[in-house]
Amino acid sequence: MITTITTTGMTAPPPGTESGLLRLAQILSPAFPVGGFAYSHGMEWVIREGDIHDAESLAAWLAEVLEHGAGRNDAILIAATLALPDDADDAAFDTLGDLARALAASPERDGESMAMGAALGATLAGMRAAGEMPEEHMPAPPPLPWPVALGRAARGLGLPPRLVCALALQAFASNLVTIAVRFVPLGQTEGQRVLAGLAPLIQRLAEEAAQADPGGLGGAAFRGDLAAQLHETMQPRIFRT
Amino acid sequence: MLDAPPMPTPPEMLQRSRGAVRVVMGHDGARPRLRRLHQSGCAKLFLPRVFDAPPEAVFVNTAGGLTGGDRLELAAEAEAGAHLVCSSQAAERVYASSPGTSPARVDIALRLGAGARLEWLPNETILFDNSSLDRRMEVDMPACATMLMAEMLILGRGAMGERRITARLRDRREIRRAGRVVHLEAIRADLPLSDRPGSACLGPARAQAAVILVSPDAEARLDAVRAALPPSGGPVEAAASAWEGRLVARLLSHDPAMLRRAVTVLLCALRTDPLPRVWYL
Repeated sequence: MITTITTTGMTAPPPGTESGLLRLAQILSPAFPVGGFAYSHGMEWVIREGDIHDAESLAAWLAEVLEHGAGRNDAILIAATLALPDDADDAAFDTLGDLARALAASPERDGESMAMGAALGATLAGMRAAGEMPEEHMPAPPPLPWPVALGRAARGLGLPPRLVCALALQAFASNLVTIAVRFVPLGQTEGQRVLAGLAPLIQRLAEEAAQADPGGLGGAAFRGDLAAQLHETMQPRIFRT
Repeated sequence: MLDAPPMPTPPEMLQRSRGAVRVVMGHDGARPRLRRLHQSGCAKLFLPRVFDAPPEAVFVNTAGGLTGGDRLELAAEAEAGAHLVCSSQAAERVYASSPGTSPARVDIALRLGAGARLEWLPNETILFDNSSLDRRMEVDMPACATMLMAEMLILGRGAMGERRITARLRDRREIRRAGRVVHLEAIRADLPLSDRPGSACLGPARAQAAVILVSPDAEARLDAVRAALPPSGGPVEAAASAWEGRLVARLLSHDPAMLRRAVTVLLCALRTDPLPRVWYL
């Protein structure tokens, strides 16, 4: 009888829901240096125009962007990245990356997605170099847009795709709520109430995205996309999108 | 018992229209040359005589519109160095689909050769109440070609009092340049959507348009396009951006006629040739 003993690096977390969840929460935390705070997803323009002016209009706008805009599409791309076979090569990730970039409503949005995806890849690569990450969690260069980079980072964490999608959507919404609290402005508690109210929608979208494929990409956030474009020429502006 | 009504015809058994056209425009160094023209079913194509202007191919749906179960296939190609302008004779009307029928299906395939210029400038698509449309466009082009498209969508017949229609729309335009997807404009809407004024979806708008240019000089055209956009705060909301060899302008309005006018102005800023005559009818 042959016994194989595998050594997997001193700190590699074994696949399992709890360690995987810890890793995902770390990546999606505002403290993880991908710079999400710099991007308002066009909301800076929308707030200035008065379309978002209180908790109710914030909740409605966020729900639409989640369901008909980048939220649902990002979730589908994350799920599609998770669903790639174990032996998928860089070209397979690039194909999904191309779709994500082709869907970007504006150059600023494309920049948002690419900068966050690149920062995610660079941070994970740096952690790996320090022996903190096993090889299979490592997104390889060249940089991928955010949903594909995130999906790639979440491969091998042993988490159900809908959970990865739900947490990613919540992180997206949470960042925008934080921005709205500062700039509408709203009370902190009001903002968190809005976020909590989006949970059922986030759960439903994550569930659907986990079963969808890239053929289902698309949306109807016409005014949200316009806002992303109008933000480009807005003066002065604080956020990069 | 004898008065029992006749068996209803299953929706899919009703006669549905089918149509396909295919046009290939080439170039012999001095003049455009029509290489291929195929038409079948309810789809027709005519090539009006044009002088001092690029050749035009005008699509006609002789069925007069689309409804559930209908199927159209349109293919157009501009060979290397050729220029082709595609338009349609009339607005494409998408009628109500009977319950249980599949959506009206339109497949559009556009191909461009090296240095070719293909323009897709159809009249608007009008969705009627209870309509369902599944339209897919695929464009294949090399990096050195120019693709310009303008698509206008009207939600409901305003003259018939249709303001907030129920309809299902899947409208996907995928542009591949040198084999890679570079632009994906995919509308996926189950109407009605919220009509609250600050909405991220449509708000009070019931007409939408996108003008997309993919060409080596796309970014250089941005200033001219922005200068041709309707003023902010007016009845047409609009914006334009350009990056990585593509220019995208999007427009929204509660007034289809004003939207069409704004698109016309924008196209005139982007093009030197006169617009297809059907645009002025």
